This record gives sequence, C-alpha cells and structure tokens, in this order.
Amino acid sequence: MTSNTLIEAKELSVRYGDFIAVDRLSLAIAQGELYALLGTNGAGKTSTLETLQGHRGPSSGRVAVFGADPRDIKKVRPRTGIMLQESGFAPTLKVAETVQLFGDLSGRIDDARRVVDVAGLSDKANVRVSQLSGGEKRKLDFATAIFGNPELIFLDEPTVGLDIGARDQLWAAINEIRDQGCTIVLTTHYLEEAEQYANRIGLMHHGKIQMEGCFSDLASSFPAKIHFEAAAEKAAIPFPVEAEGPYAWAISTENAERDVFELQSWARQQGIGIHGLSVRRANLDDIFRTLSH
Amino acid sequence: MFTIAKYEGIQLLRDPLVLLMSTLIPLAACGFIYWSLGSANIALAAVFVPFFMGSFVIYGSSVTTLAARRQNLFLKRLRCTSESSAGIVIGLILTFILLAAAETIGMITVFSILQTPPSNFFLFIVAVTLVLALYVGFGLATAGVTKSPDSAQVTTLPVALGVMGVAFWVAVSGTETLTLLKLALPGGAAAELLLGAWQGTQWQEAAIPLIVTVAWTAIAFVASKFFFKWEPRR
Repeated sequence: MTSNTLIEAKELSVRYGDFIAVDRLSLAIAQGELYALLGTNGAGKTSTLETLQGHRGPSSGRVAVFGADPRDIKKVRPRTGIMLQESGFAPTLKVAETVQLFGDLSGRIDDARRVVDVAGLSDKANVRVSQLSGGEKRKLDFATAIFGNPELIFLDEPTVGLDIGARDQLWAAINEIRDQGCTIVLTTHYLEEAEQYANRIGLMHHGKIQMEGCFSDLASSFPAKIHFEAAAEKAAIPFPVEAEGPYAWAISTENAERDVFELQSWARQQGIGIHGLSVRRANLDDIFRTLSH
Repeated sequence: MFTIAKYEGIQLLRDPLVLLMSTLIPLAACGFIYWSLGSANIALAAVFVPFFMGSFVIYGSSVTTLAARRQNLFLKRLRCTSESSAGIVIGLILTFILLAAAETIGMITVFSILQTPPSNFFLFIVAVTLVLALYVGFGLATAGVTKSPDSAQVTTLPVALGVMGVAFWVAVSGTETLTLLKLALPGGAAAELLLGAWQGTQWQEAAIPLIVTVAWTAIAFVASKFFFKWEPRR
C-alpha cells in the first residue's frame, strides 16, 4: 500500500455458502481519485462495496480503508460518507432535521443548512421527508453523505431518479467536493457519467475486475466504430457491418482512417451516396457488451 | 444512541394519538387492575404493573418500531454512520424504555402512597429493572423474526400474552405447587421476585428467582443477537 492509497483490497473473496460473489479481487484507490466500480448485474459490485464500507467482512483476503479494517467503524466512519442506492428516512422528520441527525451520527461537524443548500434542497429544509419526491430523497441521501466534508465518499447510483437538470446540479456538487480532495467511489448504470467524470474505471464480471484503467485506455483497446447511411444491401457492402436501422450501418475498425478511405472509394465506384459519416471510439456501452458476452 | 433517541422522541411527539395511547392506556389499565383487585391485593397489582408496561409499552412498541425501521431501510441507513450496532438499536427504543420506566415508577409511587411501599425496596427496584430488561431482550429477538409492522400484531402474541400469563399464574397461585415449572417458565421467577420483594423477602431467600430471572434476561439478549436482522430478507 503506497502512502496515498486510501482503499486497498488484496485477493478479496466474498462467499455466501458455495456461491462466490467476489473472487480474489484486488484493487487500490488513491487519495483524491474518483473511481467508478461498474459491472454487469450480479457481478459482485454490491458485495464488494459492502465489504469496503465495513458492513461485512471478507471470506478471505484483505481489505483496508485508511489503513484500517473498514469494520472498525470508530476509526473509519468519521472519515467516510456513504450514499446508498436504496435507503430510508424517518418520514415525519424534516429535511434539515434529517441532515442534522445523520450529521450528528457521522462524528463530523458541519452546518446542516449549508449542506442542505449544497444538495439543492434549500426550499425544502422545513418540509417533512414524507412529502419529498423520489429525486428529492436522493438529494437528501447525498446531503447526509457529504455532511462534514468526509475524506472518502461512496456514491451508489447517486443520480437515479433525478431529471437532467438535477443530475447536472448534483454532479456540479460532486465535482466541487472532489476538487477539495475528496476520494470518491462511484457505482452507476449511467455509463456516460463514469466516462465523463471517473479518473479510473473498474469493470467487474463474475466476481472479478476484468478490466481497469482510465476510460481512454480502456476505449483504445477496443475497436472504434464508423457510422454511416447508405442505400445499399448488407451483402453488397465490402465490410462486416451491423445494421443500426433502415440503411444505417456501423463498422468496427482498428484503423479508422484506412477503412473510411476504402468505404468512400467503394461508394464512389458504386455510385452510392454516403451520408452521416462519423467515427466514434468505443464507449463503455461497447465495452460492457463485450464483457457480458 | 441518545441522538437517535432524541429524534425518535421528536417523531413520537409528532404523533399525538400514539403518544396518548402509549401513556394513558397502560396507566388506565394498571389503575383498573388496582381497583379490581382491591387494596388487600396491592402486591398482586404491583406485580402486574411492570409486566404490563414491559409487555405493551416496551415489547410491543419495540417490535413494531424496529420492524418498521427495517422495512423502510432506515436501519440500513443508520448502519452507515459511526454509531455502534447496540447504540442504534437501543437508541431506537430508548423512548419506550424510558416511558415504561416512568409509568412504572409513577404507578408504584401511587400504590406506595395509597397503601405501603415495597418492604424490600431495593430488591423490588432490581426486580422491576430485570422485568423491563427482559422485555427489551424479547423485543429485539422478536423484531428479528418480524417481517413488517403489520406482522408484529401476530409475532408479539406469544411473548406478550404468554409471559404475562405465567406471571399472573405465579402471582395468584404461588410457587408451593409446581415450583420448578413455575420458576422455570419465562416471567414466573420474575413474578415471584416482585411479589416477594413487595412482601419483604430477603435477598438470600430471593436468590433462586433472582438467578432464574437474570438467566432469562440473558437468554433473551443472546437470542436477539442470533435473530436480529438489519435488512429485510431478499
């Protein structure tokens, strides 16, 4: 573990009876990093996260957060904020009261009103939790996690249920705390969020991290795609193409420049017009699909 | 723990009907029992009070509250904080424990003024404390097997009625017959302890019911560690 490694897992395994949810997983997350832990359904993300958060112990292997066992809540939790994917609140408490309650339990000091403002709930501070919408409850979840500016935050699907404007607002707040040096572990099914914001991405499948790295490194190891429209039959096109719609095609390519040139040459020879020609590097959707298959 | 208890108290205050029922009904029931039994049976009434408060104020409310907090994932939320597991659980039910203790002390004080105080006062306090603790332990254990606040109406019946039934049986019929059975059943030894303390039993004579009551309280808490669940079953 290097001096700025905040989270380290070595050969971590989590077993439920005979079922292996996490299989000798190793990762290291540095201080100040935004690490996106992504994976297919049933990949073992939840079990991994729960172990990193200290809700359960490993079946084998080692986990350390701030150099300590994450189950040592007195050492670790005052420095950690957790935003769960699903969790509940006391319905008759007000928003500001709820933030204060969880703030008091966090072991950190802050102003509940400030946190409510950062989370975008200023006009709901005196409203009972039972009267909040689903998206507002997610914001409240976020507020309770960031109370007292923890050094480490787990964000589990933070923008689920939020409209576009609220998502942008939340990400602005996340980026602000990240700029202050907070380390963030993110899970999300909005892959574009991981592409856009994560320093590094870990892709889990069948209990292991199958791929890890920054998005550009991951994408460069996958073929790019050439997209175009042409009034031609699939068999007539001299490339292995995927149909994306009526006369809309995509070609996977390791050498986009060469393949675009050849495509245009073929189209000129055949007298076929090419429209909407674009080249896109692989995105997380593509990487995910490859991983799942 | 006290932070959680404070906010549970705030929630209780925001539901005046629940607060009223939690306070008035147990007091009214104890008053009715005292009136029904008559002043000659003050010791029996004194046995009834902690069992009634423990059963309905602590046990029933704890099971319902913990099941509700688990079902709506509030428990899961609390487990992400720096608070210990014990602190979370006790914090959630502390309001009911304090309410039951206050009502018990209030009723016994009234009985003492109307009649006479317990002859072995400190033994009586220990016995009352053990009875209330017994119901806390049973409450935590039952909450573990109670899926929802609705099903709490059913899951609480065996302990709520059974333990109080045993206590009354022992208090009314004594322990000269079926001694081992009466002392071994949950609530039996505690009732014998309360009755004896009110009537002047000395510590040495109370040793066996005291030990059995402590054992049942310990069993209840061990069972709660075994059965308690923090999240709804998937």
